[in-house]
Formats: sequence, structure tokens, C-alpha cells
Amino acid sequence: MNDKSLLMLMRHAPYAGARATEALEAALVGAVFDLPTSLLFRDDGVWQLLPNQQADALGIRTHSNLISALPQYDITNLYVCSESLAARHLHQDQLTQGVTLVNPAEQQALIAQHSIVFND
Amino acid sequence: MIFSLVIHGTAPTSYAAHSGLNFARAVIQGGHSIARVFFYHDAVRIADGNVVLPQDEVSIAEQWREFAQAHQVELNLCIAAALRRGVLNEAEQQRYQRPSANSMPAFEVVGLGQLIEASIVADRVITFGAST
Repeated sequence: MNDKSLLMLMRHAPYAGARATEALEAALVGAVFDLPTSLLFRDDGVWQLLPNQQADALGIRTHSNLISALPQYDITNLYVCSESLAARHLHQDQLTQGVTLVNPAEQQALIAQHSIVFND
Repeated sequence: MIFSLVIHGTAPTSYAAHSGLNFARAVIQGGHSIARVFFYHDAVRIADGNVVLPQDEVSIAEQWREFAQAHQVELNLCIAAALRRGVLNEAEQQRYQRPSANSMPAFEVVGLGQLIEASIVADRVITFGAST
């Protein structure tokens, strides 16, 4: 459909308001439009990648279920900021599978590679 | 150059809609054009016609309406974000049987597809984020 590509920066914690969910919804619509779509999780957004979340207790959608569904929308390029993980004492092993660790220089390159960059 | 603007917050909890409007004016003054302005997240509240301001404050919604009219710019609200925050046009008010419609007509309620479309047609997409 086009030669553009979308990078979504996911910077908010999964249950700190609706920001994370709404950002993910926008990414899904991008993919539905056949826009090659990648997600970069950084800052508190890295918490979105922890598996086994249970938001039923809050009566809201479990964010990690949406994350697991991303491959069904052909969103397979998931990146996570190494420094954001380290600052929160998180390790890649604890995260959902299939996420690529990227350092700040690699993130710079990612942002430069994509024609459209959304912030959440 | 064609710009699309994405706004994430509005008064009184954020001044993203103010910053966005200043930028939009500069875009036009610079001889560029704006494909679309997309109000997302809490910024959809800008269209709430029930907001009452102190007399010495100027409505940011009204300023956007004037700007959009003068320069033929579309102002869009994300429908999913608007429904979550109780900002409804008449069609949605009737569909969900709510007491009243409150969205101002200058702001059109659209799907997220319009955000993607706006990003594809624009040379630059500028986001005005909100801290909350």
C-alpha cells in the first residue's frame, strides 16, 4: 500500500491509566492498514512486557494478552530499551518472548529508519 | 510540506492543545499545510461542550475551531478514546442510549484509521504529548 513504516514508542506502565492500551490500539490499526509496524518499549513502558498479568481484579483488559496477540496482527518487531530494563532491575529473561534488546544508539537508528514515529 | 498533528492532552490538565495550536499557526505562516489534527488520549476532552471556564480565560476549543475554519483544517477525535471519556456526538449518544450528546460540531469523531491515514499522507507527524 505504501513505502512508509511506523514505530510506536511505548513509554507508559500498563495500568497507569489508559495510555498504554490506547497506544497499542493505534499500533494495531497501523498494522491493519498494512503499515509495517514496530514497537519500542522504554521507560516505564517496559512493564508492559511482563507476562502473567492479571487485570481481571481491576475489571479491565489484561494488557499482556494484547501484547501476546501482536503476532496475529503481523507485529513481530518488538524492541526493549536495555537501560530502562536495568534501571528497573528487570532482565530480558523475565519478559515475554521474542523481544529484542536495544541500546540507546540502536534506538536512535530505529527511530531514524522509520518514516512515522508515534509517542504514546 | 504537509504536517499532521497528534495532540494528547488538553486544559486544564495539560497545555498540549495550546502548544499544538501555536505550532499549527506557525506551520501555516511558514507556507506549509496541515492534513489533519488528531486529538487522542485525554485530548478528546477538548470537544466537550459542557466545559465552563472562568470569564477571564479563553477557550482552547474555540481557538482551534476558529483556526480550523480559517485554514480548512480537519479536527478529529478518536472515537474509542472519546467514548471512554464520555465525549459523545449525537449518533453515539443514541447508539449507547446516554443522557446527552456533548461533543462540539467543529470536532469530528472518527476511527483510528484516520490517524494512520493522516500519518501516511503527511511528510511530518508531530505529537504534542501530555505528562499524565
